[in-house]
Amino acid sequence: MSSGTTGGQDKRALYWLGERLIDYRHPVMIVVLIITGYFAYLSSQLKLETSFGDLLPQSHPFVQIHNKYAPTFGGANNIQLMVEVRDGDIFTVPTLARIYRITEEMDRVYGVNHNQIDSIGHRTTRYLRAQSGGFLKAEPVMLSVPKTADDAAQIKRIVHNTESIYGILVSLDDRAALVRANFIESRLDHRRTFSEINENVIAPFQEGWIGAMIKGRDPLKPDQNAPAVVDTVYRGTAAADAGIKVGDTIVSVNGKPVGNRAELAAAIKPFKPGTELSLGVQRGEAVETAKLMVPERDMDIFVAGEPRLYGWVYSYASDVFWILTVTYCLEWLLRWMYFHDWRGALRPTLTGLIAAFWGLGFVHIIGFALDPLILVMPFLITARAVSHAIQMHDRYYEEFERHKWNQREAIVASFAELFVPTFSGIATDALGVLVIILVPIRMLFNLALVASWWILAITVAELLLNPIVYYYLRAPDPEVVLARDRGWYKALINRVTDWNLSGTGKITVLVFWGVLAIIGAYLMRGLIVGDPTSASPLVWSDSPYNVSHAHIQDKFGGVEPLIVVAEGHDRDAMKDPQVLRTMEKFQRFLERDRDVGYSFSLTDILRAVNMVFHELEPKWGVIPNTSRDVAQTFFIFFSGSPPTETAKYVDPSYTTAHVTFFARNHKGDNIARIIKRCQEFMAANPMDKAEFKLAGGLIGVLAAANDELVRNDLLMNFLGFGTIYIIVLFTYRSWAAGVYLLAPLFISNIIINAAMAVLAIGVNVNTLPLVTVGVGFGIDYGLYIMSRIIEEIRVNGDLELSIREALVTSGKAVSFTAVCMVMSTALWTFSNIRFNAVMGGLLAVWMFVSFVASETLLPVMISYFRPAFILREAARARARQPVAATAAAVS
Amino acid sequence: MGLWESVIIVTVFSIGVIVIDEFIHARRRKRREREGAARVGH
Repeated sequence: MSSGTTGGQDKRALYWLGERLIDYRHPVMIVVLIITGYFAYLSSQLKLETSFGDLLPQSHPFVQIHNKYAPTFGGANNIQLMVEVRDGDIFTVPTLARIYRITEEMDRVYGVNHNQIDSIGHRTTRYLRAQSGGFLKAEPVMLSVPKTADDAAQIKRIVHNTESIYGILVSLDDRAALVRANFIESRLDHRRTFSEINENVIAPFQEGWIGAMIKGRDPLKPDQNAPAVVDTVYRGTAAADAGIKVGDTIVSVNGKPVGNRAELAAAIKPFKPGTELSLGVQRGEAVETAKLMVPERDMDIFVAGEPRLYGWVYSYASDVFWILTVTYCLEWLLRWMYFHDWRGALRPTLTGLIAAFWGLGFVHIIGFALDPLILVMPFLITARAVSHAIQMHDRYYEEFERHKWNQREAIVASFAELFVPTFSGIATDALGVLVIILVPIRMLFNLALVASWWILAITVAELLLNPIVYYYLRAPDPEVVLARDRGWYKALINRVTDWNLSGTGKITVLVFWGVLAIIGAYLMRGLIVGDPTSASPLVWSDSPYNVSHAHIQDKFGGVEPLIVVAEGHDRDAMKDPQVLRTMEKFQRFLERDRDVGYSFSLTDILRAVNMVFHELEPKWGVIPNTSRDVAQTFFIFFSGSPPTETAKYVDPSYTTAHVTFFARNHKGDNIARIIKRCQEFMAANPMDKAEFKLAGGLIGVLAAANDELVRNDLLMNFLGFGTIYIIVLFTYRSWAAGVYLLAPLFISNIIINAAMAVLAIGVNVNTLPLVTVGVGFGIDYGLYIMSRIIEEIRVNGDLELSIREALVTSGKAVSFTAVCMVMSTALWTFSNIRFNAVMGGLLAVWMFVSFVASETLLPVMISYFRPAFILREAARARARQPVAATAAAVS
Repeated sequence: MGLWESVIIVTVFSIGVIVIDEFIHARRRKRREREGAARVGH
């Protein structure tokens, strides 16, 4: 065992610093506590929020085009709501009435762009009506709620004869209708959108539907409550059977008061079909009771789109609290069992807590909000803080025994001896994660700053406050300290270390890691940038969101928009037949891609109008030959519409329009292929009066994000490893030290990338920061072991003995910290958010692989190659010993 | 489970561990003292 004396001579300044910290403990403690209190206050102001713009690389040309045209042509934040009947088709009065009301309610959801709603029940979805005298008029498909079967039949005829509706807003089998709404990015409030859609758009028409239309809020008085007044009762429905009449006000369900349509739906929703309910019905002044049998659901509503997806993610975000609670309690229990003393459980908690306050407070200072998808990150950083504290506490016990139970000497010695590996570990973690700022995505930039700061804040608790806390805490009983060297855990570490350093062990270790690296390198070729599956990887495949998404994709072919802007050089460019024909050709070209469902542009309107203008003869379904004819055709369609409605197709000066493709999914490789095909078409088909600009919509902005990630991924890896190498270079003053420490990390990195490829986890804005943090965190284990080997060789001069001593002392603490690290992230695998579950599991594997590599491969490499930078420490120590002996003799 | 429930549970749990630990160590100390006294008596 090391005496620490030789090391002590090299670390005089650190011993001095440790002593001064104890001497000046009161002012240091007060200052740290005041700052921590301030950060704790700021932490309490934090919010859970996702800013869509922050997820995008704002300097990318695609995103600039997206930002420029999203307010008029539609952005990336669309919600698609599909209404699907279980029997028959949608063209019945009750179903069409519900589609109309659903559209109306969707139009009232917070943040919706009122001019960018597509639905047969919305005023902006028009068809061309030929009137007597050859007069043509563009009218909304549904002007109001249909009342009779004739109204429903008329709507069916209109839908079947309108190319821009049939197959696009109504499915070809007539069983489903789509309501598509675009949201204004600056007004996105995922939680509010989610609850408003659930309560006002879905519940009253699906689970809460009783066969009667209940009046909603008055659009002119949106803040005024509207009682649940019955507007229409449909024949043969539960409401009709219960004797409910038009004009009744439903005031209670089974005695529970209901104040409006949403509350009525919420009250009925929990009951299964066939359950008899007592409805309190007010007729005039009297309140009567009606017995209502909850009906079987006749219609399903599916909702997909990014705002909905984030809504689900937010609804699952409270997972964090039970995971935090269980992790905390388990870790406390483990530390208590490891140290045989509650101080060993408490001390790392203080480090984690102080660092967390500093980190979260800083999040608030820079105006950043926590995203539910990065919640694993704070756990990982806190686990790292706790790990450093465990190392320190273990060393404190060791020094306490060595210094003959002198508390003050033990505190100072543990502080001074562990200062270098602790600080190097923190610096590599902090600077390693800082390289993420290279990716020009605001969210990643903020995240890198926060993570870096948070990690650096560990130094406050671990290096500044630590000696003071130990000084205040009562010293442990000697029997507690001695107990650490007994028991099964210590015996296990001894046995594993002996095997690892035996001849067979060394060869086995080298072969094992070599084979694993080769297999990993082979498998990691499947790693994808972007999303690897058509379902959203953020939630589980059987989650309500992914089920809805798949249903809508099946029915309508594609719902994820890619907006290509046709930007004219001058006014009226969009009336030029060559421009319009090129747009049409573009649509037909890209529709041949297997992952593009359908497309839409101004040319579809033009062809449809031209055909109606010529007695619906299909041969006239073409773009007119002259600009004048084009202009006249446009005039016919748009003349009765307000400019806000036409703007979604073309700007008022006819300079710019768009072609929108609806992709079936947003898989990374599909996006790359679709964008490549767009670029090929644009290069082969130049236009005189306009040019195509890529790209808006979800597919466009994801293409931009993936593009930046591909561009920066390799650079970030290089810089991440480079930063670690430089810090190690300064720590050990050796070019070779970095190679030894990075080798296990490099192999771990290969294995994790392979695991990501096998588990279908793509590199995207969510996974990248977690993966990068993992690179930095893996190095800490090696630093503690390497530092201990150097410390030991200064005392005993024997490399093999030093390696063994390092593994059974620091290595033992490292193994325990690894258990804690793995557990703190592994519990996330139970999260309802698939992304957090997968990333938690992946990081747990990463921490485990890094630990095993540092405990096995690193010592074996040092033993085999006998690095000069370690051996020279033994020579230096030998050179010092005669001098020290002479000095002792003289004194 | 919300933030405050979580905070209350972890605080109670920590205090529980501290109390149990102190109780165990106090019993061990007492036993040692008794054994020490018994040896002196012999």
